[in-house]
Amino acid sequence: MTLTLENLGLCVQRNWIIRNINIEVQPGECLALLGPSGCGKSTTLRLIAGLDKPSEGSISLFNKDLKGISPVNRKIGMVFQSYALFPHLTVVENLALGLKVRGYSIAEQKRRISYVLELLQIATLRNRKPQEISGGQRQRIALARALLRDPLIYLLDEPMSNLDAQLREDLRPELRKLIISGDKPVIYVTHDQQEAMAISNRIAVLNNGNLEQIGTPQELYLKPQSIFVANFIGRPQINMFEPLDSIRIAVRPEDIYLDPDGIQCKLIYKEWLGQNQLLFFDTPKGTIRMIGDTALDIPSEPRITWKKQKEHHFSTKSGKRIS
Amino acid sequence: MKLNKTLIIFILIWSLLPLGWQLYTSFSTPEALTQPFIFSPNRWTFENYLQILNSNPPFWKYLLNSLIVGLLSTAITLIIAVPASYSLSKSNNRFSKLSKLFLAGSAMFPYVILFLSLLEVARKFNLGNNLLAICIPYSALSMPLAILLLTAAFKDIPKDLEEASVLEGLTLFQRLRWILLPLIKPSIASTAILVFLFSWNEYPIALTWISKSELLTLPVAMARLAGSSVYEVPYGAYAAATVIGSIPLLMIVLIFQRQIVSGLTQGAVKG
Amino acid sequence: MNYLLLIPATLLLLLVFGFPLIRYFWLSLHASSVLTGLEPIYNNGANWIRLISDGRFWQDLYQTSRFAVFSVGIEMILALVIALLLNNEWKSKQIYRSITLLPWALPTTIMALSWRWIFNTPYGPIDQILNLIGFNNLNILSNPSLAWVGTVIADVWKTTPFIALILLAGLQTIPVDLYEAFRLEGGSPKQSFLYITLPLLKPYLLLGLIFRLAQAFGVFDLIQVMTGGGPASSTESLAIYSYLNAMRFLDFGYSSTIMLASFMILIFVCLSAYIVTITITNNFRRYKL
Repeated sequence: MTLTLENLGLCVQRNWIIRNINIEVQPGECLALLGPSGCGKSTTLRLIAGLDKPSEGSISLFNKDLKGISPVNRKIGMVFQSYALFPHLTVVENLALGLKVRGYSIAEQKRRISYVLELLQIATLRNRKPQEISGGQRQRIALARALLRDPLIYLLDEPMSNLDAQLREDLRPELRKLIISGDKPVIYVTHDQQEAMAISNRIAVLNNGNLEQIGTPQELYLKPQSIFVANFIGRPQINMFEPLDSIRIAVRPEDIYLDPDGIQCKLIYKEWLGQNQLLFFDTPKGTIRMIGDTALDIPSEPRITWKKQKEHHFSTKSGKRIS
Repeated sequence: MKLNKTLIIFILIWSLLPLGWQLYTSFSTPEALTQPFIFSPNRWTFENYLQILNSNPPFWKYLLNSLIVGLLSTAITLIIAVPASYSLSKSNNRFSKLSKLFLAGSAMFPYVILFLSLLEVARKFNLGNNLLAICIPYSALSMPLAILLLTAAFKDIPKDLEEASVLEGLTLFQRLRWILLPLIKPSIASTAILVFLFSWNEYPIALTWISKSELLTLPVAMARLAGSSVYEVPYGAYAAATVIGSIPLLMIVLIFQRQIVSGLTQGAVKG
Repeated sequence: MNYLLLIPATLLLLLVFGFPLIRYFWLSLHASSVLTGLEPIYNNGANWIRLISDGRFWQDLYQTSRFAVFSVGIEMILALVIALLLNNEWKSKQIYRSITLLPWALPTTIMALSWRWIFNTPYGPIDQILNLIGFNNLNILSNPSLAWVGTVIADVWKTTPFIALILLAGLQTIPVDLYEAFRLEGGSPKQSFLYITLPLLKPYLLLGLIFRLAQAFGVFDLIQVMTGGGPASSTESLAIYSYLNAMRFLDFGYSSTIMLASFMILIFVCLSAYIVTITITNNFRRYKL
């Protein structure tokens, strides 16, 4: 096991920010910590980095307990959401500062820095200051700094959230090539479920400081273990029906289809998505979303249905899945 | 807009008029002083300046004394205030709120009230007539404002930046030296200038601590000059002294106006 | 570890701010003057009893308050006007600011000296001008009922820029959006001053008011150099009186009593000023719906 979080919890002024977090990260794995803002994902990352001290539980890296080990000795390559580039230093100085204080010779500093600058194709930015370069370039500098750290584990705190949508997609392959597909484990914090599914091997979904579910993107999508996960993963959002006998039934929009024997309904409106369309039906069970082919002909009195085995069942009491 | 412009000009004249009058007086002969609004070609003279510059001890000595006191007090204040402010900027809310309240209170305090007790301390430890010793109360008196300004500056630095440097392996001293201090340079400059101005201008403590005429700072020297002959007419020499005494500060204000304003206003906005 | 960094500053502040107040309290309970050979002897609160029946103390308290109320009052109004003027976009904004800042930055003693010369009788410009228009020798600084006005004028000249800058800083924190939104709602400039500027400026007005009240209450340099407290003690402030007691009459015990008393009165004054301002502005903002 590379990284193990055992029963991890942080309590600030009698509030549990996170609690009972148990995660094991496999060698070379990219694990995404996913959840809405305030769910405790960044807190978990900060605990791993040693920037905050856990109130309970333990963190161990390569079977060594990290308790009492200072952040710098944990050998962590971290990319901050804000990138945390030093605004008064040039790109090269930003990269060199850490090497310098860690005792590398000038020649070695130069060699390593030119290597990463080449690797990330940012050599032309050497003598610029962070505020003089674009957001995407800043993100690369932050990545370069993490690479230069030669860490045991990478911690990426929403590294894409300050970039526009186009740039995010452009940078994903690069991130994968440089860091994620390497042999070092990566913890990737994000609030974007699509990004998490695209980039990671496994996803840990957090909500209100609790670990809701951990698993591969497929597992989360096909077998969400709680109402929260079912709602959070998958777009367009899953259809949640009104509870019946303390059971809540949910069906994904793509599992809904037109059927003459189905429930009677009325088309309210449709969103055109490109290769298909999202249809909103008014039914006795509430509004139902359905993904249909753009060529699909909607009859004037449509009826829709779904297969029983595609239903997800949850207990209304615990919010957990009933298999 | 026209009214505004007129008002501004009026205010500028009002601000400059007393200074201008001193300048005017300083170049006037004693005879001309008795009739200030009568102009004749032989009312102008440099005599007053020569008199001031040739006095004993020479006038520049007072400027030098004030300069020494100003610079040293500024250095001591910064050396003590920087670590304290760093520590305060890191401390929890309740403690930092309480200390902020005390600091703001001390910064507003009319410190002239303290002079007697400070004088006792000076006598006890033989610190009177010592330009270096007087920097201690000066530093202490400007400490509250300095700490308030610098704490606000440290708090403005994004937390991420310091954490990133911790992960990079920088020690506390390295962080201050390479990251934090360079980032708050503007605030340090404003603080330094305000402390310098305070120490340069301070009067009651210098008045009671220093009696030797060659050690007087500028404000005390000026007051003495005036007190020596209250009802005598030769004001020309005093005027020349006020002009010379104002020049260094005039320069400071013109050069560092931005820093002074930002120091004062930061104090107001954050304090 | 972190708190270690606070120790030097804390010690220095305790030494210079904390110790004197405790020492004054102790001294105020002792006779310590030339009569006792400057040895403190416990005197059962005699200093405080003397203070209460000391007409000169009450006279000085009145004179100090008069000076503080008039100079701070005028300064606040003038400063608000100057701040509003400077808040406009001027081409030579920086120079305007430097010039208005100048009186504040110059040493008080130098400026007090200059003002003394301006008020000089009969050679100062004010007397000269008054002579020209027919008033003979007004003698401002030698007239016990007028001298304080001279000190107020000098103080207003010297410290208005400081408040103006604080208020200017406050004005600049108010987003222009607010004024634009209010104008679209149909607000007049006068209304936007009353309903936006004043309420949002309140903390800065308070800060300037309290700070200047405290400083004016401890006025020393200006009066010592300009009038020396005269004529006939008519401009003497509490700080000057306690200075005289300590340095001229060598009565440390009584001097300490005066300082401690002024300190307590000052705290009372500042607190009342704070509460009064808060109450007034709070009521002021509650316009009828």
